[in-house]
Amino acid sequence: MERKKIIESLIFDKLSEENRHSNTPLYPEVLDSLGLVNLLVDLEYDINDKFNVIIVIASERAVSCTHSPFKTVETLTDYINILLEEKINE
Amino acid sequence: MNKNSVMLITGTRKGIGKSLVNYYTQKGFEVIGCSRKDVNFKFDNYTHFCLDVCDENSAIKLFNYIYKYYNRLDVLINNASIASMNYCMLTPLSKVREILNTNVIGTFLFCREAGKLMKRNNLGRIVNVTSIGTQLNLEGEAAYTASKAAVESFTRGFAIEYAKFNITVNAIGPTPIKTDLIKSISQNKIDSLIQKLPIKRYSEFTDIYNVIDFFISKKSDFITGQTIFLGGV
Repeated sequence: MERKKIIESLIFDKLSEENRHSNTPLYPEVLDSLGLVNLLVDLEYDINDKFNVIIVIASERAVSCTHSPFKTVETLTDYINILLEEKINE
Repeated sequence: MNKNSVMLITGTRKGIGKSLVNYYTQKGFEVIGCSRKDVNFKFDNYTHFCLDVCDENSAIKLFNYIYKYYNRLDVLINNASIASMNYCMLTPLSKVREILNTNVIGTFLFCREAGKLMKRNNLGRIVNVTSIGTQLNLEGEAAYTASKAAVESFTRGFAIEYAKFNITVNAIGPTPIKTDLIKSISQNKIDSLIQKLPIKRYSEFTDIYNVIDFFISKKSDFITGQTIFLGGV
């Protein structure tokens, strides 16, 4: 399976069935701040399990992005994919 | 916590950290420790890492090891600490940064990463080490006590955020204890400090074990955000 699809499916696993779409808004529409914490921390471990790569999703880079990577499932998927790409190429 | 619980202790090369390794490995804990330099001791059930507690990448790798090897972390004791007794006007800024990096940034980083791992089991105990200096306002200790005041503030802040995950965060503030941390302080100064205490004596390692045992006990799941100072301070 394509890497982005795997990341997206890991995110879907954390969401209720009706929110399993790439354009689903995450924060603050579907998730409150605690929900976002839970999602991101769980995803760091899921990514580690799946790809054997450690990433920190809530980094300075994420916070300083003009457009929040936590806005939708799609933006989060893209952001994690970039982090993974960089780690794999290190 | 049960026998075979997994415990991480920072600053284990000597002093309080080393004594905690000895005590908790004997109690059957799986103990992981770290310090900047290697240790000259070995205990059963003890694994050591050489790292600087304020280095994010090294810390993340250490927590990844704990996750992969044990799949859980039950207890974190943030013990790593440095002090520099000096009048403010004679304290180099580099020393202040060093103190803040180890005592404040290190504590924050390890609390943050421990929380992520403990959250997976919805259970955990974190104990930070502060100092009675935050209460006594001693001359020559401004940078050190300010760093420990930050540790106490972090303790309360993390306690609130981590309560949802059944992770308790508390702190212990020992009185002077005969370790390298106080060896650069004159005997007169230590004696005068001890005279200010309601119970006028040094802390013993057993005093520290007693409070940490209380904080990490299964029965202490309703105790969080607290700092216990020894000696009646």
